[in-house]
Amino acid sequence: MRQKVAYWAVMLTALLFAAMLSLSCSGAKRSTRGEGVRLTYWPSSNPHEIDLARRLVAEWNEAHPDTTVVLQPLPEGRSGEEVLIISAAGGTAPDICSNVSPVITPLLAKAGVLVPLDDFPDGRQVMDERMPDGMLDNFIAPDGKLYQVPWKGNPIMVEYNMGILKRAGVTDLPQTWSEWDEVAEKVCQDWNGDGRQDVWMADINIIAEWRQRLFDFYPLYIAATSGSTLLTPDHQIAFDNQATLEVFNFFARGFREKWYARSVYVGDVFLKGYMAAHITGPWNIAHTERFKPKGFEYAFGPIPVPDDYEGPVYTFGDPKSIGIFATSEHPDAAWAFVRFLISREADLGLLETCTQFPLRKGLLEDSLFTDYFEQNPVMVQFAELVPQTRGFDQNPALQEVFDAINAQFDAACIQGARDPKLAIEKAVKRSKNILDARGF
Amino acid sequence: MNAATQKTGKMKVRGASAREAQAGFSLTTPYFIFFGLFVAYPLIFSFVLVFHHWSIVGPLEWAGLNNFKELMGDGLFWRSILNTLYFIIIHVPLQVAVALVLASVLNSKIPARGFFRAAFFLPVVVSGVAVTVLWRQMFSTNLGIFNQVLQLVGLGPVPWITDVGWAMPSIAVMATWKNVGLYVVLFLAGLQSVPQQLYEAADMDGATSVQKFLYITVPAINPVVVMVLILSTLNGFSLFIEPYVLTGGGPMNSTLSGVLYVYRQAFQFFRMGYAATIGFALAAVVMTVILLQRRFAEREV
Repeated sequence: MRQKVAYWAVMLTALLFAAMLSLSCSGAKRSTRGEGVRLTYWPSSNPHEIDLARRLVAEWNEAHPDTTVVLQPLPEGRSGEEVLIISAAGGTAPDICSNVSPVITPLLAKAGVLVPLDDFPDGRQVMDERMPDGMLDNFIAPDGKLYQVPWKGNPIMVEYNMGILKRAGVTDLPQTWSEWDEVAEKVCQDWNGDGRQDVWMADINIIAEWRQRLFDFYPLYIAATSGSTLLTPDHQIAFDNQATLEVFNFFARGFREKWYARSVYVGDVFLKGYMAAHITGPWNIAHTERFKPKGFEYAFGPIPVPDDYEGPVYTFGDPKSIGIFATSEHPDAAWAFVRFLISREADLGLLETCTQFPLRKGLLEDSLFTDYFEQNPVMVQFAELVPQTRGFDQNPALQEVFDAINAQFDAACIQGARDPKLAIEKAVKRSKNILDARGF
Repeated sequence: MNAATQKTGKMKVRGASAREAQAGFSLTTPYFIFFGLFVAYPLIFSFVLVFHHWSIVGPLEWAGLNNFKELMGDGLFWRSILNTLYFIIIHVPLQVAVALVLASVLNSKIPARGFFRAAFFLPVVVSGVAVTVLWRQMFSTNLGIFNQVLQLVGLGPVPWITDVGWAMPSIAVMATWKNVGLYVVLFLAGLQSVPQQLYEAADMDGATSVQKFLYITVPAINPVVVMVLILSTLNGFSLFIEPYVLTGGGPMNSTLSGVLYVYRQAFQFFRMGYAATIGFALAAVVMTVILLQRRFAEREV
């Protein structure tokens, strides 16, 4: 009897184990099963991008019966970077993903996870023809190769609640830091007379995470430096300068004057009318249109610059790339599908469905896009900014450098507990140590 | 009993014990497979990682003792350990005291006792992330309910989780609320095992309720107190969800816990070797604290 029980216990466990193994491996098998070439494609899990991907994949599959693309939205996770790296480590990466952050491409490239476009005869040529002049350099890996297809960008601007501005007597959107401060003084008031301030200038996220600095410190730093990024092309510190200090002072002043709320409220404080401004990208237009209360008026303005600034205003472009994974058994077919994803027609779909910008030169001059921009005039100012956007330095330690800045931003600007000059010195020192330790 | 019968008997016994051994082996094999795959292998691999640099993708690169050297000079690591200890110092006594008082109340004859027992246990089974997001709203400096209430009596606003001084105590209070139900159940079990005769004898001697609690209840449930101390300390060392969701480790790293720092190094910066080194250092600190706790808290009744 006992033997029987033991036998069945072992058999049941073995069966369960086999079932689990089979389930965990099924994803990997799917790409090689069936006739012809099968490619797995992961778009972002954002519903607009899933809609676009569904349409494009259906079009592709209809036109290419020999190469079937299987669509699967990027699995959920705290960040796309985390999910992609873990899937690459686990051997479950797709053939193609269109949500690869350029922050992690140096790491993926170094580990041999991505296929360089240089491997395809027309890889670099296609990208040179597509990208706005000079922008491609921002995506080249330290070994000189291009491991990503820079696909889309979202120029970061400032969205204003025009109702709040009008109530405070502001008619023109601020362009410089002084103008921003003047507006802040006017709008940050106790409007309902309960003895407490009830409107703030902007919702600066105070969570101490490096990503949050992409929507406050980084766009203002890029704007103040006429388009500099954090590192030089030879991977040395570039932010050890006066502009960084002035940006830190700008935010420190705002928190000191209570123009930014030191709050962690979860919810859209901008649409609820607590904030006069919101540093964001064009994707937020669809959100504002969908959820805005009745009578809500909004407008977009440029990232404010120092008072003595001259020249075009640069900003952070929040770029996303398409990557072809080295585990793909059909890299040439994958490249053909990627070229389809970045075709003019697909780029129009990206604008129409996702209100996001293809990194394509001459968007405003191309007749294919004319109707779209005529019908969506608010998007024109974003389109004009695309060539003036900057992304990420291609260095595998960049997130740690951002984190070093984030820690000092928290201390000097949000908490006001450290002198901004000292804070920047600390950030520079830590960043140098990080880069030294990585051999840069 | 002749020799042949004795031999047969021995063979039977031997045969039976062999069958028992076989059955035992068969029944424990699944556990050993599980243990090997999900405990022993990750532990051994983590130890190997301590001596390597690894970005989770790509090959292991030999690092020798570099990860240890970095750890010794890493101020943020020491800060995370001190933060965790600070959390434990606030959280554990609070947890034990609140759980013990609640268990005593719930052990007495109060109306709707079953309802209250279930109500205090409810947060234990609710998702940690959901609870933390809820508390984040309540902690909000300008719009949260806590400060709205304080405002009614002319106080506040208190920067619950946005000020260096307030953030960790606020997290400790939240964690206490979340976990107290589990310890209430443990204390209830302990309280129900205290012999009633002791209380009756104390009543005859004219002891007050406080005296009975201090001189009968507390010594009688000492093993449970030690268990709760150890469990809540271990729970404290694994502090992660609350700072991860509420503060991201800020303000100014004041809520950066050891586990959150491991996570940050492993899954934000993909430095698996260094993260493993922090993990082992953290384990050493946990073991030391638990040993000290047992040394001072455990005593015979």
